[in-house]
Amino acid sequence: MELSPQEIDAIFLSIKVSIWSVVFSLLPAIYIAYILSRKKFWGRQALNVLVHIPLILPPVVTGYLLLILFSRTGLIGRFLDTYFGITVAFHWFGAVLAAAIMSFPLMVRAFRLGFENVDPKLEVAAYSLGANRFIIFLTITLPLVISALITGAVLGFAKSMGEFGATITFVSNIPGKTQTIPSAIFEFLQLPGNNFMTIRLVCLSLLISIVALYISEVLASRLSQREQRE
Amino acid sequence: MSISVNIDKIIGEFYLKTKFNADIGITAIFGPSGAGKSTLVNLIAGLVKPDTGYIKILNEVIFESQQKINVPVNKRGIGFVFQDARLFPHMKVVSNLKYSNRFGRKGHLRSFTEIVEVLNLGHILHRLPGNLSGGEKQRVAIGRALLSNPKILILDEPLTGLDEGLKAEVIPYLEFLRDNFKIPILYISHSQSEVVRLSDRIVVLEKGRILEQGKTLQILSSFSVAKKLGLRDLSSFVEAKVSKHAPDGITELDFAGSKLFLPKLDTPLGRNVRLRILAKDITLAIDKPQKISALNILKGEVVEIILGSGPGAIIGIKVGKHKLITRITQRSLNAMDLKHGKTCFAFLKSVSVAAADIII
Repeated sequence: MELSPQEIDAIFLSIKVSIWSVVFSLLPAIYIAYILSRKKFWGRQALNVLVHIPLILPPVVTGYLLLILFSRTGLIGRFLDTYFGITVAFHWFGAVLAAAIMSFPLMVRAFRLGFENVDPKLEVAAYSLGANRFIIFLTITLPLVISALITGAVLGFAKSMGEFGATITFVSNIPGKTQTIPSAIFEFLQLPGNNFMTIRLVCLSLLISIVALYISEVLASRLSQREQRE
Repeated sequence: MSISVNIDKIIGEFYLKTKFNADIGITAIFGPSGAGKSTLVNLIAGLVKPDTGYIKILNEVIFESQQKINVPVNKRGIGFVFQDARLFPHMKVVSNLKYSNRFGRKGHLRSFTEIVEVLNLGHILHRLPGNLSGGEKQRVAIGRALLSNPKILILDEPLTGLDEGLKAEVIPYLEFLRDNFKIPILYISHSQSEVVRLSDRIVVLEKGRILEQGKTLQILSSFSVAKKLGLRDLSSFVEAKVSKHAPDGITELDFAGSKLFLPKLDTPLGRNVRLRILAKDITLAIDKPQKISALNILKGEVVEIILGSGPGAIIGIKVGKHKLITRITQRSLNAMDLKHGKTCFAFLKSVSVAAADIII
């Protein structure tokens, strides 16, 4: 029961897209979660709403908006094409973009919960010891939110693995190029006699998600044990 | 002066206006909750910006409203010990202690080894703060502040929240700090006994204003301060020196040129202790009483008479350089014909000075 090349491509593409999606979202998500939880600034609520838009819009709408912006004639797409020769629509990197945007609100929410659990008084203590804001963030705040960061990243990874609507709308469903596991399942479902392949892929995607969750749990518990060890 | 503060700040309905100086040793900032102690700390620390005025530390201006000088918190050189210790939970004690030299102010007031020894932290260096007792946490916090090369220390209610046992464990370290480190310390507290025991000078805050400032024992013995602060029992605070432990269980103390006799104290000879004497425990007489059970008879002079609105009166008696205050009825006052400058005898039962009032 060997996997067909199409299935193997879909699996690797899904993993690749999900990893890149998390990598690209990580720093902006940390930054936005931090300022949303700590800073009072004009337009804070607007930023909050903006971040959450992908969560409330139908994914197909998000995909369509991406298509308008990033297609070769779109506002951003034309710019990227003219100056950098990059096309993201119908390209695997477009799938990364779609997955990143869809998983961004989930990551921000998880990170934000973490930051809100760090007592700002500890940061004040570090400030009084002479450290500057950036060093305080690196040495106090970040280590104290590490489990929230892992949780958020895994959530982002899982969401990216499962992202379907925006991806298929934005980059279509080209086997070996832009076809992720969900879009492959969708394709198999369209044709009769593919029940076995469908179930196989479903099981595989389940397995990948469980393994990712397991790794994150182990990491988080190791880190929190290190915190409590004498 | 090592610390010079003259600032105004309005926060909503609250108006804080303070002007005081502090020098080497412990200066207590004392007042009930809501007096503005925390606000004052935040202003000096640089967490809140004063509206007008200046703050100087060792001749360096760290805030000046007109010249727009406002040195940020991390550059002010103030070591802090907070009520809740605020140790970094993810770092071992040793990393907490070294935090400043790694990531903040470099330099030493005293070496790491010395601080660890003085505060007796050697055996807990590799523990995480979560596994420390309240007293140990505060000692680490004191050590961490001292290792941040501070010009001054601010101890913000460091003993509030500790039970009596833990307080007794931490206080000797604070005394050692006061007596051996030549550094100005502001000690924020609402506890009369802590302030009496630790500080030489006091700034009494009430509703954002300075009510009184000066020598701690003098200020706290003042009737007006006691009344304004609503201190539960009007008392005199005096200092006496342990001179003899008699075999019958009485400890003799030198006080204002004469002797005080108290039930046995566990204090070594030659040590100074501070006593709180309740006004209602002192009885007055015009002639030296004979054959009386009270052991302590002190000759003094009437220096203050305050008539209460009821039948009572407060009498201040000067004994040597100390002032004792006593509360009697106006009827006794008239019967004895007490006037300013009149000589009288104050007597006090030894057992009246309860152990809790002896602040070693």
